[in-house]
Amino acid sequence: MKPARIPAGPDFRRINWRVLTIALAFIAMVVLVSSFVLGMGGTLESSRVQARVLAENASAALVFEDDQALRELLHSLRHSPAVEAASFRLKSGRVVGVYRRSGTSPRNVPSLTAGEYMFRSTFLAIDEPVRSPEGEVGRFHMVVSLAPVYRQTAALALAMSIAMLLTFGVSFRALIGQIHERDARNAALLSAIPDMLFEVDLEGRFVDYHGPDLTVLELPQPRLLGNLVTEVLPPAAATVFMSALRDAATHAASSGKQFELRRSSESAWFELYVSRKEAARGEGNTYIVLARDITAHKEAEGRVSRMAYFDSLTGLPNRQSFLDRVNREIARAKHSKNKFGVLFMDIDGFKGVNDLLGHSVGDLILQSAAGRLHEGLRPSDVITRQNPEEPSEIELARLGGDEFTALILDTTRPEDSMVVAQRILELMRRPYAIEGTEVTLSSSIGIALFPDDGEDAATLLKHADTAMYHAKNSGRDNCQFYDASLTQVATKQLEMKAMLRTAIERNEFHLVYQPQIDAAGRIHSVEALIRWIHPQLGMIPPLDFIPLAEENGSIIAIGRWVLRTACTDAAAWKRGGLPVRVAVNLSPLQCRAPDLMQMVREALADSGLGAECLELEITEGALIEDTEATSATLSALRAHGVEIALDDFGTGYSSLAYLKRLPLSNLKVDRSFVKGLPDEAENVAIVGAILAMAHSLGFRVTAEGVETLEQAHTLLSMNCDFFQGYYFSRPVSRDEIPALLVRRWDLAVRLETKDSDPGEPLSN
Amino acid sequence: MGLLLIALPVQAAPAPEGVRAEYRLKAAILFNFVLFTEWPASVGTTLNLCSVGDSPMGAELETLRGKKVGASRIVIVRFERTHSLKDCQIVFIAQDAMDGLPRIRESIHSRPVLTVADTPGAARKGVVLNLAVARNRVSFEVNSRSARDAGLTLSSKLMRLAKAVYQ
Repeated sequence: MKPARIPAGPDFRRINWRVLTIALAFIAMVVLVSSFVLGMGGTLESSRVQARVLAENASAALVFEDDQALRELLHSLRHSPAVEAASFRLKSGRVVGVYRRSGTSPRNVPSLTAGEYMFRSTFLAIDEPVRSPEGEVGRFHMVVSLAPVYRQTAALALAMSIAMLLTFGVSFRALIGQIHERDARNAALLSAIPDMLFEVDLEGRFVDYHGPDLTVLELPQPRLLGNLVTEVLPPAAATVFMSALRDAATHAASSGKQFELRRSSESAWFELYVSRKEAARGEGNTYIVLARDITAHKEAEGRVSRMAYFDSLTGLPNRQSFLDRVNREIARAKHSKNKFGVLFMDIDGFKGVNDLLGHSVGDLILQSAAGRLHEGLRPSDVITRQNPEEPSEIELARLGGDEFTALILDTTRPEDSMVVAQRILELMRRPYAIEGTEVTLSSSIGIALFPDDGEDAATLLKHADTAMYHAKNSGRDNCQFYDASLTQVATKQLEMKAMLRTAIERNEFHLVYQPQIDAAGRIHSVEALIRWIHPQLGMIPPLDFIPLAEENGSIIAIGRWVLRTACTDAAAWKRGGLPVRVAVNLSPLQCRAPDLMQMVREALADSGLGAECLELEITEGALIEDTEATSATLSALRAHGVEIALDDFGTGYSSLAYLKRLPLSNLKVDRSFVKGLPDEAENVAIVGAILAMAHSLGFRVTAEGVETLEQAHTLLSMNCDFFQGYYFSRPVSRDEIPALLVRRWDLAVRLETKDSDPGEPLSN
Repeated sequence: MGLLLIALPVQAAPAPEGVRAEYRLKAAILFNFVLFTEWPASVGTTLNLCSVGDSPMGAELETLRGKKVGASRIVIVRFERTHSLKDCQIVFIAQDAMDGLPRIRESIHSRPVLTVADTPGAARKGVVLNLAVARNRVSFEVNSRSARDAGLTLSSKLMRLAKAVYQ
């Protein structure tokens, strides 16, 4: 259908009236001026011709001074109504043949020279010489009234004015008619629109309103016109309204912006369509705002969305929703290189429950299971990672039947997913109270990891399903990874974490001590090192369990045990007459613990060890998150008399800033630098530089990993203070230390036997 | 014929002042006539003014000697017996010579000669211009037939001023 049109004929609203009026006025002016000028010119021309003819004819009469003839000549002028007066003047000065039209009065005529003419406002004066063959014989003078020209111009002006007025009048009548028709049409259009129509200025002030009763808005403010949007609408709705206005201000129109109005019973939704109404120059634009009530539409949309994306039985997201979510997460994870896990859970023996107890019971169990998952997997309940403040985010869904899935976000390690799985297994094992009886079920879980086990949602889900069947085949009530080896790793890790928690009570930890020798060849201190000997697994290297202990926080307890044990042993040696300083490693977590100072004090007090006999070794890693608190704690320890050593120096960030700021007493050069001595020039240079720098800052330096005499010799020649390593002694048990404390490693003698060595002789 | 047409000399008897003024006026009028009269192209640029008969006019005509009329110049010819009137372009016929008018007309027959007289009735008798003075105003009569016969063109303006025009 073609759009409706205004009836045919010129659209007078499109005429630029201002321009038209100016153009017509200009044309009228040009015509009038031309007419006047032409009239004047014509009068002059004809009058001069007349004067010339008369003068020509009068020349003989003038020569003969025939007054009678001259008078007769002039009398002929009565046929020229414009000629008011005329006369001849002889050369002698005598004026003859004066003619004056009856009814005219004399003009104040200026004197003219021969052949001249002169316009005055109301008349034209002409002087025409009268010539005979001999020459000028006199002058003819004539006064011509300009009244006819004025009359002619006035008549023309009048005629044109009438014509223009008629034109304008006709046009205006047509325009008014069109405006009336348009108004009627607009009014009808507006009445036919069921939506609310507002006219608002850019500031947001309601200027006009048209539409149904405003009660749909349930506004607290009954008056709309003259008030601001922000005064009338609640803040959230007003914000949307104003943003639509600004859009329209920029782009001439805005559509589709929606806002919600909470009414007493339920909430209503409105959609805004705004168009800019251009104002006359000098006035601000206003905006026509159509507000459409889309509440019903919104509600339907919500229902459809819920049906499309949520499982009606449990209220959890459905399969489609889950796949969408996983695909979104894949896009995000590909970009951020994150990993995540897809967990697939199936309730063991659910089919039997359905068959035995009926579908209604089955549905109740499913609802209950969904509730448990929903409640039991809230982030605060599942702490999987090193940083307890950032637990894994878990998104649940029900695929159908007794199959549930969970998306486990940001899993750095398999055991993160495993923790969630075990939590689910535990939740599913709890009995269901159904119609007075208890039903106990279990579940099987499969896990697929992105990106290792699949790069799209369907593959991940399929592989998680496969893993779940492995779990079923492995006796149900367990969790399997799609990659079977991961199951072992994750299981082992989790087991180890669990064992760590009880290792102290079970006395599975032991301390060994490695001597640190001074330049004189005597033990200056011993470093306490932890050993974990598990009854089944045997010796577990610290590198395997310390990271786990740091992850699950058990490092704090282990660290305390180490500190107390080391202090107790050192106190025992002292009591045995062999005082020696003991060095204890602090983990980063311990360094940040607020009660570190108190823990150290208690360990010293309980053991009776002097603070000067304790050295705490911290790693550079602990200093990365160097806070004011860490710095203050270390300063307090130092002030208490405890020495602070920086472990593994040179392997981490080795920032000179904290060397200056922290209250360190000792630097330990990492074994990797010592290893290459004395042959590798680079390591020689690095160790030399560390030594020079440390000494100039007032630290002493301990070299770790000294395995040969040559290394010891090189380090000694570089003024290294202490030496630790297998060359001197492997870590030994507490009971072996007293024997070593009395021993002296004879560095100096052996060095002196080497002729090639120009090193300084060792003293002491 | 030439002998008969002798222009007689004006005797030295001085005319009274009133009469002189009248003739001075007539001389001026005669000159004005010349202004409004066209001779055929054959005449050339010299207008010989001859006077026949005796009258105070002769002395007044002297004042016209050498006057220019357009491209032409007036030459006064008087008392020249040896000349016949055929060389004159303007002939003034005094009152006492009017009796010889037929002979004068015959002698200048068809020649381009403007004849001027100041005798009443002269125009009717064939003189082209006849002057009259009344109340100190000069009037004149024209014989247009004589002018046409002589091949002269008199200005219509002149004709309009005439008291009477004879065909």
